[in-house]
Amino acid sequence: MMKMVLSEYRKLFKRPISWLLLVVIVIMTLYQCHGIYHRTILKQYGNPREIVQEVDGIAYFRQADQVLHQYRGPASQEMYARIKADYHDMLDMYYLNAKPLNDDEIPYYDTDALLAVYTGIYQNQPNIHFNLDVISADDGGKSDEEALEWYGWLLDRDAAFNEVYHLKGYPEIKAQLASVYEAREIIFDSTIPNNLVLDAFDQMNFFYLLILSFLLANLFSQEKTTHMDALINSSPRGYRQTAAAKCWCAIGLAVIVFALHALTVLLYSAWMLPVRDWSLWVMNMGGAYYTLEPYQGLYTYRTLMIYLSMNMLVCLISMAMLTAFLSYLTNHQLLTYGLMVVWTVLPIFMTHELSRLFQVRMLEGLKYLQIQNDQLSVFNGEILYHIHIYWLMWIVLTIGMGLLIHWRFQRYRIA
Amino acid sequence: MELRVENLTKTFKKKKAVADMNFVLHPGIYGLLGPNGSGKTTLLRMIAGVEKPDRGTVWFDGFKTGDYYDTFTSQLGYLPQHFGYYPTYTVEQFWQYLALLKNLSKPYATSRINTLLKQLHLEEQRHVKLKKLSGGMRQRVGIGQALLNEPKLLLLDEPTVGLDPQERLTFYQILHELADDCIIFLSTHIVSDLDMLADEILVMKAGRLMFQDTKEALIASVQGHVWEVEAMPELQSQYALSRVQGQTLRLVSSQCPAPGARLVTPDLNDFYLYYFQKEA
Repeated sequence: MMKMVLSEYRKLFKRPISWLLLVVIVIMTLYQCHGIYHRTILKQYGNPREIVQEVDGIAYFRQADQVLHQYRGPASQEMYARIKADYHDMLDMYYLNAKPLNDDEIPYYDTDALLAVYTGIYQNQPNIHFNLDVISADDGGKSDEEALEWYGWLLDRDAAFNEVYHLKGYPEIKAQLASVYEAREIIFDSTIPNNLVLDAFDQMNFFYLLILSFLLANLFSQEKTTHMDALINSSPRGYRQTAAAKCWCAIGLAVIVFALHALTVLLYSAWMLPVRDWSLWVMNMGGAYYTLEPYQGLYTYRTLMIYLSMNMLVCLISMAMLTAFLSYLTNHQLLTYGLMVVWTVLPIFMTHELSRLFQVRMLEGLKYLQIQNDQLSVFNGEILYHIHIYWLMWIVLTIGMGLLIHWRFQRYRIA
Repeated sequence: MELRVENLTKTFKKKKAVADMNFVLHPGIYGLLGPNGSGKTTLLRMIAGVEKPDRGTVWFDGFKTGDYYDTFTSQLGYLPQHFGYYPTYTVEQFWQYLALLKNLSKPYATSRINTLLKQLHLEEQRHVKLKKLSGGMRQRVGIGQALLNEPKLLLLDEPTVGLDPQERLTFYQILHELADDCIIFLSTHIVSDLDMLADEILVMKAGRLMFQDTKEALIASVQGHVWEVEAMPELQSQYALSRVQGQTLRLVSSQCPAPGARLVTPDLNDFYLYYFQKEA
C-alpha cells in the first residue's frame, strides 16, 4: 500500500503548481511569523503616556524576556513582592511622575529598547498582577469596580472594560484558579517566547484550507479526465486499492501542510527567540499578547500546543478528505474546487453558532477556550469540552467518506 | 484455458449496447468486427471489469471472473479505446506505475520494461514525457502497458490506430508470438488487421453477435456476391464499393449489378461491406 500511496504523491507532485503551493504555505507562515515577531512596539512613558518612538518588536521581546526571566523561580509571596516593588518603582518613574527617561536611573539595562521594555512590561502588568493576585489569595481580591478602576489607571476606560470583561465572574474564577494553584507548584518565568510561538502557530487560516483543497481537487477526477480509470479498474490492485491510496495521500498531504506550518513556526522561533520551557503555565506577559486570560495558569504551553495541533490536524485532514470525496463524486476538478471555496469562505461571514462546525471556524481554535456569555463551563476540568464534539464529528465523517469511496469503487465487478 | 462469456448484457438508457452475448475463446487471436455503435467497446469493457453489465457471467479458466477478480486481472492485459495516460510521466515512469497496479515485482517489472522498450522500438523515448510523443508512439506505449504482465488474456480495443505500416508489422509479430499461450481479443475497424492476424472473427451488429467463425468461413459466406465491373457513375451510388482500381469498380451485391460484371474471389473487406453496407 505504501508504494501505491507514494505513486499518488508522484502524480500530485508531477505538477509544478503543487510544489509552488507548498512553497507559498512556507512563505505565508514566514510572513505571519515576521508580522508577530517584528510587530511595532511603541515606546511610551508619562502620565498620560506619550509615544516617543516605534521600535522593532523582536528587540523589545528579547529585552523583555531577559527582564522577566530574572524572576524565574517558584511562584511565592517573596517573588511577587519583588516584582511588585520593581513594578511600582517603574510606574513611579514612567507613569505617575511623568519623569523623562534617564538611562542612569535604571541600573542593569542600557539597550536601545530599554524604555519599550519597561513600558511594555508594565503596560501588561495587570495580567501578571491578576494571576499573581490569585496565587497569593491572602493579598486580597478586587471587586469588579476596583479592578476596572485599577485597569483604567493604566489604560483608557473602554480598553480596561474589555480587559476585565471576564472578571464579571471574578470571585468564582478566582476561587477555582486558587484551588488549582494551591494544588501544585507554579514555576514563574518569562513566557514571552512561548506566547510568540503560540501566537504564530495559531495563525493558520482559510488560505491553508484553500491551498489544500486546490492541491486535492483533481485527486480522483484526474483519472477520469486522463482516461486512466479504465486501466486502473482493470488492474489487479484496481480502484479498490487506488482509492485507498488516494485517501491516505489526501490525509498525508494534510499532515504535510500542517508539518510545514509547524516546522516553519518552530524554526523561525528558534532563530528569533527560542522557547524557554514548554512546561511553563500559560500566562500573558510583557506585551507578547496571547489572549488566554480566562485560563491562564491552568494549562501548560505543551498542552496548548498539542491541543492546537490536534485541532489543526482534524481541520486539515477532514478538509482533505472532503475535497477527495467531492473530487470522487463530481469527477470535475473545477467544480470540486468551487464547492470547496464556498465551503471554506462562506462560514467566515456566518454568525450562527453552527458555523463553528466548519473547518475554517474550527481553526479559530483558541476561541473555543474562552468564556462565552459569562459561563464558566470551560473551567469545569474539561476546557476542550466543545471542540471535542466537533473533532469527533469530523473524525467520524472522514472515516465515513473514506469508506463510501472504498465501497462504491467495487461496483464494477462482474458477478 | 478459455474465456467463456454467458448472456452478457448491457443497456444504456433504453438502448441495448450488448444483448445476450455468448461465446467461448481459446488461445489464439480473435478479431471483433462491427460498425460504430455495435457494442464492441462495451463488450471489451465489461470483460475487463471496467463496465458493469446488467446481467451475464464471464468465466476465465473455469472461474467466474467476479469471484476471483484479483487472479483474473493479474492475467489480463487491456488496451482501452481511449488509452489513458499521465502526460507528465515518461514512458518508463508510466510503465512502472502500471507495473505497480499490476502487482509486479520490481525486478520482473524492470526486466519486462527493458524488453518491451526494445520490442516496441521505444528505447530512445524511455525518458521522454508522454505528452511529447507522437500519437503512434503513445499507442505503442499503450500496447506495451497491456503486455507488461505477460497476460493470458489480452483485450485490445482499436490497437493499431495511429500506427504506421512498419509499427503495425511489429505489432502483428508480437501478437503472433503471444498467441500460442494467450487469448488475444482485439476489436478494430481496420479490416486488414484482422486479415493479417485473426484466427477467428466475431462479428457484432446492434449489440448482438452475428457470426463467430474463421476468416475463411466468413469470406466464403459472401462467395458469389462480389463483382468487378467497368466504372459507371450510377453504380457508385447504388452499390457498396469495395474498392476502385483505375476504371474497374469492385462492389458487393447479391445480384449481378450490371451487364459485363464478373464474379471475383471475395476477401474480408468484401464480407464486411456485404453485411454492413447500410452502416458503411
